[in-house]
This record gives sequence, C-alpha cells and structure tokens, in this order.
Amino acid sequence: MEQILFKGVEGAKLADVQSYLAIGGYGAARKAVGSMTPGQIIDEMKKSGLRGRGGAGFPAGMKWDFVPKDFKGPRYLCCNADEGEPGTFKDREILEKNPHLLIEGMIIACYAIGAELGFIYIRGEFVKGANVVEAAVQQARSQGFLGDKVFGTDRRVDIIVHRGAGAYICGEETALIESVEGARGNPRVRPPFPAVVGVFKKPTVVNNVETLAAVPSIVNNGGEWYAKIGLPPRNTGTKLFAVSGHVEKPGVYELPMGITLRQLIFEHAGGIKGGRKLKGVIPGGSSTPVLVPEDIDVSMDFDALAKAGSMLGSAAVIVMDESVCMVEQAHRLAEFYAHESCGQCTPCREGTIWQVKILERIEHGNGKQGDVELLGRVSSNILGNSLCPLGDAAAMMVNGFLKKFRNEFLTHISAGRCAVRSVAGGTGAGQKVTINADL
Amino acid sequence: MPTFEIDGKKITVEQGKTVLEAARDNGIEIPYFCFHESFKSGGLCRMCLVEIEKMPKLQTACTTVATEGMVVKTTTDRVRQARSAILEFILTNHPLDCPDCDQAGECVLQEYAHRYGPDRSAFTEPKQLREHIALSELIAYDPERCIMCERCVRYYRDIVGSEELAVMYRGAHAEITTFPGKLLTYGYVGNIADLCPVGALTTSDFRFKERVFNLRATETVCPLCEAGCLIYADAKLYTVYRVRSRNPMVRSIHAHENRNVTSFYPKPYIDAISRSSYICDDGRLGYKKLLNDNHRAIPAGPDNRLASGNNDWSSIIAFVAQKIKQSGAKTAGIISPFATNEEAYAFMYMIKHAAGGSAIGMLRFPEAKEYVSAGKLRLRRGMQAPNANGIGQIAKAFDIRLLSHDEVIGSGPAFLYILGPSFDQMDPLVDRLGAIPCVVAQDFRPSRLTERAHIVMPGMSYAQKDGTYTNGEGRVQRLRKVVRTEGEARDDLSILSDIIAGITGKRIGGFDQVLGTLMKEVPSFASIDFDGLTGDVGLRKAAGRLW
Repeated sequence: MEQILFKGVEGAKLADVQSYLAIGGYGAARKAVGSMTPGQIIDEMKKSGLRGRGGAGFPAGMKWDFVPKDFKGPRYLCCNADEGEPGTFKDREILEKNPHLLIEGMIIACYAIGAELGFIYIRGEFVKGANVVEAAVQQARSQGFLGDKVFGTDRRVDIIVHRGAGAYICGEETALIESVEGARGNPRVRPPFPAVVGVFKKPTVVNNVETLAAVPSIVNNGGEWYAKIGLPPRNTGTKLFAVSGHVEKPGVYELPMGITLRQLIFEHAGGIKGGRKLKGVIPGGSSTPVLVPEDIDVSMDFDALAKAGSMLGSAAVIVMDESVCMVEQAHRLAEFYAHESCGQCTPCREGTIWQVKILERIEHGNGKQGDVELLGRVSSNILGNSLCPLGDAAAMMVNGFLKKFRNEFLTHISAGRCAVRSVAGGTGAGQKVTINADL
Repeated sequence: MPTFEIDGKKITVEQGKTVLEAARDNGIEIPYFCFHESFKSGGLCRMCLVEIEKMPKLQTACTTVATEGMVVKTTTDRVRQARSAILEFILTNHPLDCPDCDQAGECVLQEYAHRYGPDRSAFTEPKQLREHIALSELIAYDPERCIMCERCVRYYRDIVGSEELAVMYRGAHAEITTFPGKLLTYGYVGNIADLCPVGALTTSDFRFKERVFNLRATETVCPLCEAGCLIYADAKLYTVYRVRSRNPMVRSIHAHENRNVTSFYPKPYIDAISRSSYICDDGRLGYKKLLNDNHRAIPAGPDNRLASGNNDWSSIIAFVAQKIKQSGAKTAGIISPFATNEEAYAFMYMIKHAAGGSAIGMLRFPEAKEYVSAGKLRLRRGMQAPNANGIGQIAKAFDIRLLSHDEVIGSGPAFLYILGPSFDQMDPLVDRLGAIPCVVAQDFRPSRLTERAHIVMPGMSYAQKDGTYTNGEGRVQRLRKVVRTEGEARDDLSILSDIIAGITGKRIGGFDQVLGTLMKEVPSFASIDFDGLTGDVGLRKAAGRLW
C-alpha cells in the first residue's frame, strides 16, 4: 500500500534534512516555487480533492482560493499543530518523524497564497516535536529553502515555530490566531473568516499538519493522481488513523480513505486486546459521537461517518472493550470539555460544567430519575448555540453516549451503581470481581 | 442600503448595520447582554440568537450584518427555546437573591428572566461561591453575579485604551480581574458599573444606599467642568443618590422598554450624545459632593441696619432693588460660571440695562484636571465650572467686556452683587470687600463670602433648578431640577427677575421666556431647536466653540 505522509519514515531519520533530501525531499517545493504559478498550485490542490485533516474536512484548495487575491499587504499561513483532541496523536508522528515534509508543504502553501510568513502553532506539551521542528526549520533555512531567497528565487518565505501554552481551545483556528498574536486564546466570532481577517487582521490560511504534509505529493504527482487514491471524488487520498484503546496494536496507520472501521481495528490494529468483546468505538476523536459494534462496517470517510451519525473528525479511533463503563467514559470526557472551555460564551461555559455535575452524580450512584433526559436537554441546548465548536463537541459527545448506551445510564441511575465494572472488572482492574445477584 | 426582512417586516438599513441594530431601530426587540454600540461585538452572551433563512444554525444578531434579501425571524420556537436555554444556563450559577442585590429593578437579567426565561430551573446542585474583589477604590466586583459579558473589559480595551481589566481563568471559573495587586486607575472607572447589565460591578459611592426603583432619574448636565457631559441624576426627595452617564445604550436597556434610540434623539444630536456616553469619576462623585452643604438659611442681612430688621424675601428684594437704583452706574456684579444662561442674561440685564452699570466680572474657577486615557477618552476639560462659555457669549451680546473679579473690586463700586455659587473661590478676596458699602451675595452654599456679605439671598443649587448651560464646545444643554428644595431658598432666576421688576417695574419672565429672548437676541442661541433642547440637547454650534 502506498504511503504518502509516512513514505520513507521507516528506518530513515527523516528529521535530518540530508536523509530527507536523499528520498527526493524538497523537490516539490523547488518545482512549485521554480516553475508553477500560485494559481496552478491551487488548481492542482482543487483537483486533488484534498479535504482538511483537522476535523471539519473543508476542501483545502478552496480554502486557499478564499484568500483575497487583490489584498495589498501581508498574508499569513498558520499550521495548526495544536493537536489536543483526546485520542488524537497523528500530527505528532509527522512533527517528530517527518518535519521536513511539513515544512515543504508550508513553503508551497505560502507560495500559493502569497504569504511570506508561516507559523507552526505547536502544542505546548509536544516538547520533543517542537524541538525537532525547530531544528528542521533551522536546517531548511541554512539550506536556503527558507529565508529571503527561497530556492534562489526572489520569493521570501519563513516559518516561526510558536509553542502553545496548554489550552485545548487554541486548536480552534480563531483561538489559535489570537494566541499567535499573543492574546488569550479565545475563539473569535466567524464571519469574518480567517481567510479574510486572520492573524494581525490579515488574510490567513489555517491548515492542519496532515493537510500541509499532503501538499508536496500533490505538487509532485499532480492533483489527479492524488484524487485516484481513497474514495473519489469526495474522500480522496490517504489518511492517518490514530488507533488507541483496547486494541492489540495501537498506533498511527496511514491508510487510504474509505477502509472500513472493522478493517482498521481487526486487520491493522490487531483486534481487541485480550480477545475481549468490542463495546464501542469513537471514530474521530473524543468530540465525535460514539459507535457501537453494529456500526463498524462503516467506511472511514467524511461522508459515510456523517451518515452513520458520527464524524471522521481527526480520525482518532478510540476503541473500548466490554470492560469500559460508558457513564464513566462520558463523565471523564465531559470533565475535559468543561476544563477546556474558554468561558467566553454562555452555553459552553455553563453547559459543560452542568453536564459534568449530572454525569458525576449518575456515575457516583446518586443519579435521579429524569437525569438522562435532563442531560440530553442540556446537551441539546449547548448544541448549535455556542460561539465555537467546543460547545458543540461536548454536546455531540454526550448525546452520542446517551443515544448508543442509554440503558447503561438508566441502569446506573436505577441500581445506583455500575453494572459493567462490577461484572468485568472494568477500568478498575485488579479489584475483586463479584457478581451481584441484585442486578 | 440593503433591504431585508425581519419578522415579516421589510426594513432598509444602512450598509454594515447589524441585524440587532436594525431590529432595535425598528422597534423589534432582540434581547442581549454583551452587545454595546461603542465597542466591538463579541457574540459572547448568545442571548441575541435569531433564525436566519438559509443558515442552518441560529446566528447572533449582534454580529450578523444585515444583507440584501436576508430573512430573519425572532419569534420562532427555536429562537424562544434558545433564549430560554441561555437564561437557564446563566442562572445556574447566578445567585437568585434579587432582594439582596443592588441591581434589582434595573437588572437586565432579571428583566429577561421574567420575559424570556424558563419558569423554573432543573439545576439542583449547589451554586459556586466566590469571593468579592475590589477592582478599585470605587468599584467592587462580585464574580457570582457576573455573566461574563465582558462589557467592562471591552470598555477598557476599546474606549479607555488600556488593558487594565482582563478575564482570568477559564470556563466556569472565568472572572474579571486586574493585574495582581493593582487597582484600576482613577479617572473613568465608574463607567463600568453603568455598563454592567447585572449587579456584578457596583460603586462604593452608591452600593446599598437606596433601591433603584425608589429613585427618579432626571436627565441633566454634569456641572463639574466645561465638557458638560450628559448625565442622569437619580434622586429621591431632597437627596441625589447617584449620577450615571447618559449613555443611550445603558439607558435603553435600563428603561425596560424597547426605546428606539435613533428616533428618540433627533439625528444631529446622536453624535453629541455618543461623545458623552461616558463620564469621569470626578463628575460621578463630585456632583453629589458639591451639594453637601446646601444651606437652608432664610434670606438675611447680617447687618440689620441695611435690612431694617425685616428678613423676609419681599423686604430684602425691595431693599436690594432700592440699593441698585441708588448706586446706578456704580453698580457692579460678579457672576459665577455656575450660573445658567438665563440667570446670566437676567444678571447682565439687571446690571447694565436696569442699573446702568458696566463693571461685570466672572469668577474664575481652577482648570479641571484632565484624565487622558491612552489618548482615546478625554472628557474633563476647561474650567471646573459648567457655563463660562455661555456667560461669555451672552456678555458679548450685551457688549460687555467680562472683567476679572480683581478688576471689578478695584473699580470701586458702590454696590456689588455677587451671583453665586462661588464655592470657596471668593474667599481670598473677602477681606478686600471692606471698601464696598454694600455687598450682596446670592448663593446656595455657605462660605466666607456669605458670612461677610451685607445681604445673603439663598439661591438654588444646580440640582434644584431648570436652565441651560453652554458647554465648552458651544452646545447648549438642558439643566433640570433633580431634587426638591428645603427651607427658604428660591430659584435664582426668579430672585433676579423680582429685583429687575423692583427696579424697572418690568418682568423678564421665567426660564422659558428668558430662553426665548436669548434665542432672539444672542446670535449663538439663534439656531437652537427649542424642542430638541427641551427634549435633550441643543444644536451644536460652531460659534463660540472652544475646542
């Protein structure tokens, strides 16, 4: 199977520019800057059908095209490397193992949108990744790939590595922009979209690491080549799947779009750990609604998952086996969102903490009749009413658990305890397993 | 000029107007907490969510610009549900102790909760308890009541131009704060209490002094400097409890009715009003402070020889009229820049036309201390008195050269009439008054001058009478009666009018008539729109403009 993003990663130390050059690295950037016009690049991007890998799946070529052509003054490119979604660790692989691919993609993107400066906004916890990327940027600069004369042309492109300070919300593109500007990472109201008013009020394109890393191959081989991979026409290319949880071989897998969730879990990730039964899968990072074993023949692409009531998101597959208490799982994730809510807008600020309080009492056996309905109502009241997608994510997540595992919540409330953990040992492994006849 | 539809009503608005503004200007209410005309909308409170055709999600009306052909709905079930949901969310951690809260009665949250909120909350957990914080000597912050609309933060950032106020912590723990150990800089702090839609920000000046629903708000002018900011003075009976900026936004949400701001104010005044959206702390506190010693004395001649023992108004007025007649051209006057335009007219008429005198001086007050905030907000200006500009213009119309008070005293008058209030500005000169046979002081406040003067007539303070002031910019503005008067004090204009009648037998009339005369006789009053003036603000005039 053809690898694009992880090509040559095995064995070779691609973080070093010489190894990267040895496998033909920076050829695409040289070609783009040397012999293509920005319009041609954007055309190839559009032809490729590449959709944003950050979660929303917006066509990347179209996003580049939104930057006003007649704008006088600087434009910026932001690479969103603030990979904070629980379960997601795909970008980290690129940052640590193949940073030059990202830099090359950014050089091309900067050239295509007319930006002279790109930012890599990297999650604060990614200390190693940030160090590797910073070293790679230095190398690229000393090779003349970045700086005042890119590949000997008059083009100027440089990259600033900007480390985050630990806020999940800064992965939201407008909060990221605020943070790059040095402000508190609060999302902005859209419109205006960053393509028009972005970093320092200038047109800005914000792309995910994986999106930018796919750019060199598209320039090298043409958009049509890329569009043949995966599930054309709407879900093209390869995708990084970060599989975690109860599987034998957790890790990041580069596979074409459109493989099924079953294939991913059972063929690539080695099946469920310890031969236990699958109970639920979160297919695209913690924000996306959970799926149950009956759903896993779904194709892993933007459209099929949306049809199945979930989302591809960041394609972070969290596999949960039968020992997992779904109430506990929902509670833990809800706590994450309440903790990470920036507090700007009412529904997210007040709603996420309310979700936690309800889930906490259900989980601790203090749930009340009607709590499931209340939880659903609170979530629905957040959904669609918040300023940025964080509120929506918290609401979708809880609603997903309620939809697929409603009985488990109801049992928690009526029995006042967890049925799963007392039977299967669950996450509290090591406890004595007792089977309670009352249940 | 896009035309769009809102609740079935076709509306044409200026390019760039938001749906919220357009709706409000057309009498359609969309509730909101965080929006404010003076600064950038954040779309934070989510209270103004409306349904817009072709948009899958509800949109915030405060950030959505009205465009051609847009169809907006504000009364659908979805919108109603969203409003109710937002209010339920806000109230989860907001104390429900309105009887204890200073804002009750003018609280936007209270109002909306009644109108749009759910009738009960499903929230059963204990509410978060938080500590009160002093943001400055003047402002206390109660994070429990705070709804995080960030109006105060944005006011500081966009209007004051400083980053002194910021949001600390995230999510449900978020609160407003200053830098650790620092307080807000004095100058324009009090405005954030006016901006706060709930009871989270309160001023030490007013907190727990009086319930707002017991107060009557009067639209008047701040007399503490020549800027002449428009204010509300909130009073009960004899006491002014609070002074607020007459910010149209603050007013429209506090008025509990969907007042249409732009049609309420005639167009030319909008600009003037928006400049006066905020007031300085000196004005906020000083208005009340200067009223403190309002004495209730009966008119008095300390020297009984002069008053013939009859200390009643008619005797005193008859005596003063008699004295002025006798002194003729040797009658001199000193006028305080706190006198209204109408009083100034009557005063100059009395000295120049009735008595034939010519030495008229104006008391000089010290220059106001200016607080210039990062170059953006600059309200306090000129003299620490309201009407120097107006008095100067009227003097010009009378062909009088205003002297300094030194010059007036030095001219050797036989009779000196001092129209106050002089506060303590005359005190250093009191000892030099000995040479003048008869000194009359008309003042509302005791001072060394009133002890020394031969005759004292208690006038009224700026909170007790009607009139107009001309600010340094040349704008004629309405001063209104805010509180009742105690004791024997009389309206200054009527005192002057009676004296003039005593001299000439002719009456100049009350406030309305004198203002009418001013409009006829003084050029800079000529273009005043009288309706606009009685409504709110006079037309801004280039003539006599100081800045």
